[in-house]
Amino acid sequence: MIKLQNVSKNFAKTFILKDLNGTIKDECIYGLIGANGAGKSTLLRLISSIYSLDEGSITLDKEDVYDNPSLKQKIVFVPDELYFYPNYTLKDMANFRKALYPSFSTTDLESMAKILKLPLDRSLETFSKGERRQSAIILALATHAKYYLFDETFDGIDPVVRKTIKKMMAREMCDYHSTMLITSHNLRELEDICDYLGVLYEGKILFESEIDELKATRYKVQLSFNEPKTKKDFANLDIVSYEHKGKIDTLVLRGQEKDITKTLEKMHPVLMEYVPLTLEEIFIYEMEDLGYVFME
Amino acid sequence: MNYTILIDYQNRTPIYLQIVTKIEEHVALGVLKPNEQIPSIRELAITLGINPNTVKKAYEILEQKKVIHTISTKGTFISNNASQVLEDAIEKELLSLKEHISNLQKLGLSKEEIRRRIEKSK
Amino acid sequence: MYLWNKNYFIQNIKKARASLLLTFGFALLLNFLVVQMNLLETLSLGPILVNLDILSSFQIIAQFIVPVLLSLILFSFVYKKETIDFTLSLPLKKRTIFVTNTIGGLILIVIYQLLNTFLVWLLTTFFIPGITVGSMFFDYFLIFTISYFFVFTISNLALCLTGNKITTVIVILLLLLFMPFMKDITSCYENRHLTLTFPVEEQAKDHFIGNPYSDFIWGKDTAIPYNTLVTELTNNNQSSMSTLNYYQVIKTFVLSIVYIVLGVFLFNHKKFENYQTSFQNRHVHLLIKCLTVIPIGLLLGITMNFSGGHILEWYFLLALITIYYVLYDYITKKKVKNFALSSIYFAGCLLVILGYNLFFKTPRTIEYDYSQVKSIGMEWVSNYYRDAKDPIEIESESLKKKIYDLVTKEPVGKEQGLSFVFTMNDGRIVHTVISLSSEKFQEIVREIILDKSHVDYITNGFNGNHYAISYSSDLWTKDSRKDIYDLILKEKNNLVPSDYLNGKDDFITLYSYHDLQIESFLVPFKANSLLMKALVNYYNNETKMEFLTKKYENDSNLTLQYDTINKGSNEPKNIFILESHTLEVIDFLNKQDIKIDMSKPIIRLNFKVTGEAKDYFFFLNEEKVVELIQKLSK
Repeated sequence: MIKLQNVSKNFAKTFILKDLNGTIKDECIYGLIGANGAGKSTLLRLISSIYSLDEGSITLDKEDVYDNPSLKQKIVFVPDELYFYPNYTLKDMANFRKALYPSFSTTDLESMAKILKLPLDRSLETFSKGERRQSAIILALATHAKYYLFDETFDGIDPVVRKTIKKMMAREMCDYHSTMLITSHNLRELEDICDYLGVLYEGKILFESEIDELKATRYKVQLSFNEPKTKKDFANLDIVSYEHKGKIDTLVLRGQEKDITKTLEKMHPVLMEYVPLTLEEIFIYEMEDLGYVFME
Repeated sequence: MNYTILIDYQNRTPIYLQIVTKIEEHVALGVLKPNEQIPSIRELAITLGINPNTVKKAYEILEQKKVIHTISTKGTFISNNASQVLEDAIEKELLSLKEHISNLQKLGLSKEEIRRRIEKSK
Repeated sequence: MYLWNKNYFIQNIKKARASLLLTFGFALLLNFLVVQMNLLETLSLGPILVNLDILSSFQIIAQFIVPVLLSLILFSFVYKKETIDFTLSLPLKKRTIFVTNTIGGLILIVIYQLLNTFLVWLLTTFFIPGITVGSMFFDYFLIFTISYFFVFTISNLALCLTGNKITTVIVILLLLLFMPFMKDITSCYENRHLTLTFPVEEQAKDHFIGNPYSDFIWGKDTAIPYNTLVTELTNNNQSSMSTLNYYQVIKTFVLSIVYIVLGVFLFNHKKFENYQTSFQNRHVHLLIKCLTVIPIGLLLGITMNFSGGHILEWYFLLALITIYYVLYDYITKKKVKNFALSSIYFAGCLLVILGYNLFFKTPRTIEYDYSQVKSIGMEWVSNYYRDAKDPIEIESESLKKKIYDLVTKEPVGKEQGLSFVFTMNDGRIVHTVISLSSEKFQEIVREIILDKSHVDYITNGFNGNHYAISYSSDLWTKDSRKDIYDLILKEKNNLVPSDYLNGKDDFITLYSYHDLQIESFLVPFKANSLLMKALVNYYNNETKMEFLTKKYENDSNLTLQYDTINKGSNEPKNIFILESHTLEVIDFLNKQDIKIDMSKPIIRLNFKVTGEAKDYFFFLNEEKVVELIQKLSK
């Protein structure tokens, strides 16, 4: 479990992360969404102990992560800008990782490379950008670490490769019970991979939730009544968002569909219609409910 | 095992629920027969490329519903009486529906009107 | 162990193997060529007695460049975001990374110096053979390994303070130049324009009291790279390596360890997120810039002043400093747009450099009186004595006063010169050369040689490891002529002080190497001694075989000179005739079977072939020479 407590980090006197709190449960795939410059990469670098905290603490399995080699052996960080030693091949990089991470398996790397059709003995500098990204991912997965930190790694990967990699990740999670933290500035990139999503905004994790739970408990309803209604009239419902335009009341509600329908019907609406709600919209409404205007 | 399920990630239905629904559907349609082996949690997770915890959740529901059962060394199987279990569930819903229809009739609607209004609203 | 990770080091080397090979390979090659050049230059003057200066001139400069490059290569990850991410996410403690690279760098430096020493050994043993001694190669290896390591640790320290490659080099320059050098540079300037003198009376005015700078002996409190470089740059006749001693070697090593410990601490606390910025605050940037300009300006100034003649005029120096000042901003990628502010700082620099020059260049005179004299030593002069790094300090107080009085009061004579080194109580050194009449010369030298200090030295001193012997312009190893060496030892053990005054006819020099210096000891002997006999037999045979029996068409590449070993009653007249009849002399010597009577006066002929280092000696009795002259004048 990754525990972030009151994490603060500043660069040149401006706070990128301030009093950030969060918990990433074991064996989940956690997606962290944030605008460019919101501090996602910084947070990952703090967790992988590249940077040091200004305040607060970050613990993995209750152990402090800073400058802790035995714990770092269980963490793999894949940064947004990839680096490989010059003229190294996949095989060379594998040997390098093997020397420093005891859990690394060269055979697993080779089989993953074969599936993705990545050559083992060609210099990584000759690979395309996509191939380099894939190489970084399989080098990471072959390490069989406990924690994976992917910084915008999955943005822009084509669907076929994406599917293959998702299968590899699933196998990894089954066999090694790992936890993954993935960042992106685009929710749509992570929807199909993660089971938890969190929003990093203004230096904090403002909102996080299990995706399935969100999907199952957020509903958008458009209602019309004979008499004009205000928000107070819906006080017995868990409201995310309320809008009154003309004669239409639009509500975004939390709860089970059955219960919501029952409650609304008791108010005898002239019109009651459930409007489709995307995950993205759910997030935007939730953020607004917290008082923030969520910018992509 | 070549069994796979098509998941719609854009759909607002949670993934685990889609798995439950799809498997139940396949059982009802006869695609999955009683005592037939289905992929283990691990296998299905890898095939679909999703978090095994999600598959685990789905299987737990199915197990609770007695649609499937797991024998630890052998694997996961469609229950002997799976279709029967489904039948039972359908019967239960129909019973509840009959009750609702009866209530509506008491409110003054005829069966025709009920049908018409149901089709109109959803 | 949490300080060394073999795998990380091997991978770091592997990834950088091209740059490392290039750097070290190039340095090895250049060093080889420079040493070769030095040897050839020395060879043109005669057989080579290899000393540390011949071997070191390239290393003295390279010690400031190669280790810096090594540091930039091993720690190259610090300068780019991607590489910082890569390296710091590895499961290694920060201090492990730092210490592994430090120890690894030391290993590479050791390997490099081993190779270097080996190549230089090859060069001086086989290619351009000279006389060498094993412990000198060891010292060569030791000194430069430690000085390279020292500069390397400073470079590593610098990168902990900055995240920009160029800024790192700048900070290294600062740490290397500003602090330690300033003291040395100050002393240089000061001594250059300082006149030390004694209250000299009118009649003694023409005795020479030397410029103290030329005798500036570097104190024990500098570390190796600095004094060797400054001595090299100031190009004074003093050998750069002669200023070293083992104390400095140890001190430099200890300082290196201190820098490593400091480096580990700073590296652990370094904020790697600020990897690109040169100093943000423009005042800091300008201040740092000026702090590097000043010592560079002063060092250039020293080179200018002391390299004899004005190679660089002041306006050229100004131009160089201005160019550096402007380029600095481009290199560190931080331009201070406020031209006025920049100019103010620049003016400040110039003021400091100028003020420094003016202040330390103002001629000053210090006049010492006798009470401030701590010790006096007689320096090597003529055939007396030895070429000592430290002249023997005279013990007798009355003798010391007498010498002081000679310098300040004795009328200048024209016949003989005598050189003394005065060490003052304040540590400064004054060289004097007094010109005396023959009688006065004899008188004072006699007294000096009979002083207890000198008697002790003659009887007990210089019993160290002799490794080379020189007789006139010839040079050989002790082991190659063991018989002659034994005879020399016999003579040495029977020496008394008066042997140095008169009574001996010729002398032979022993060399030993210890404490990083080559020292020599002259052993005088008589013409009728066994030693002389052995030398005569040896040389006459050798010269006959290797020189006389060869055919010479003409004497255009031959020269002939002569020395009298001991004079007979009649000095042969017209001896210069021999010089113009070289071929006939050779002929004469070939035809005759020359027998030398050791009890009679002996003359030594020196044949020289142009282009060969070695002279060929042939000994003849004076009578034979007379006979030969008569023959030739017919």
